[in-house]
Amino acid sequence: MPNTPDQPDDVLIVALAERDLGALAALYERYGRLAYALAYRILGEGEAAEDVVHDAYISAWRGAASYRRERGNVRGWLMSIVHHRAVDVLRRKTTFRPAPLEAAAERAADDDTAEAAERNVEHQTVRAALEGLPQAQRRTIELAYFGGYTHVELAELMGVPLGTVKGRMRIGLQKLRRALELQGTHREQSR
Amino acid sequence: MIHVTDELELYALGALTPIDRARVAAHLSECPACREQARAIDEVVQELPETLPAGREAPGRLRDRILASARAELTAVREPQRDTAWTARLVRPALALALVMWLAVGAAAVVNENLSLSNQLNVVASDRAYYESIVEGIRQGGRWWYMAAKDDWTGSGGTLIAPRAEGRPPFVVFHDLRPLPKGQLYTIWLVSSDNTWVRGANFRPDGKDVQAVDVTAAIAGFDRCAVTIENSAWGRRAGPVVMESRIAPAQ
Repeated sequence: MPNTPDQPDDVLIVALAERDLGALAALYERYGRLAYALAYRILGEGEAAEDVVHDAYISAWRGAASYRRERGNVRGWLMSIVHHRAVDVLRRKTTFRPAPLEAAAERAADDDTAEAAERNVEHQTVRAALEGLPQAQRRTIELAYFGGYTHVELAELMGVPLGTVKGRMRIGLQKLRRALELQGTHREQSR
Repeated sequence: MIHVTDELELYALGALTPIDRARVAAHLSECPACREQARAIDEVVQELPETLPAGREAPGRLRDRILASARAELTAVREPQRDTAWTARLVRPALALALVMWLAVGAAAVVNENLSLSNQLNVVASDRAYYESIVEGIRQGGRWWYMAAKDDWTGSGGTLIAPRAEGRPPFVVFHDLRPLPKGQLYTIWLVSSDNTWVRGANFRPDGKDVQAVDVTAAIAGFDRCAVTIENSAWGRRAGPVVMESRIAPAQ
């Protein structure tokens, strides 16, 4: 049975497509915490985050056969499902009125206080790379990805043209890529 | 072809409106060059969750809940087939869900590749009218093919059911359809071997877990069915394919 926790993601995803509960459990053990942290960060409440992670994993369970290796690794695929679902829920739930920039920033700051939490080197270096960006670029990326804001809403919130929002995202992500490559932490496509 | 390189960062970060997102997704499904650029940007964006603090623990019950849901689907598939003689007495709506499952199990045993039918039906939580319409379709025999959604639409799906009964049109039972922005609709297509696309139905998701949609065209002569997201209820296919399956109608 390929469903031991030590199996690579690519093996687990094949097993998942064959309806292997062990593979589902192993993928949850591996990425459930990250998935929950992402959903919680976007939605700001535990119960909704729990629902999103549950639905995302069941989606993966049902749709594992549609996973395409060339589109990205398993972790990214799972986080992408979680992210889409969480943003969908956020936008639907609130008919999505953009919160004041300060409020969104405050929510981000809340998460930043969990210094006591155990974090490995990889997390620290990715975070360092993000924090190394100029504030405007970092904030634009964070508010889009974690805040669920569209670029139109961001332009309004930040009082800048749409082109500036796009430019900040583009340059910010390019810098982030270079920083991650330099630090040698850019993940291989498979474990 | 108008490329979307200017919007790939927005797409990867989820910062496009649903309409623009669908447009970019449609382009990516057909443009390898943009798809390669999008993949490179995705690699970076997929690192963003790693910036979150690890202190936020998922509740212990979440793992059990996920496994219980998955196990329930497996159980529905593996449950032994029972005597279906009583199925003709389909007059008690309260039994409809169980009947759907049993019929799906029996069907899956006959048509191996369609095990997922029982899985998708298993997600139904309410609305007996739907159960009854599905049961009625299955009761009339015929064949069915499951269309798994792909890419951004993973988690959705639909089963094209071709009832054996004369005069009963084919229909698709969808599950977990994503909502669409105003002005967009799902279109069911039947595709022939020479790549002719024939529109079988247009519809908007009704927000329920399961939605049945009649197909207006007969499936004979087609070897593929697909679902796209379109901006128009007529004309040639323009939107992205979100789910599809090969079909092999009985001659």
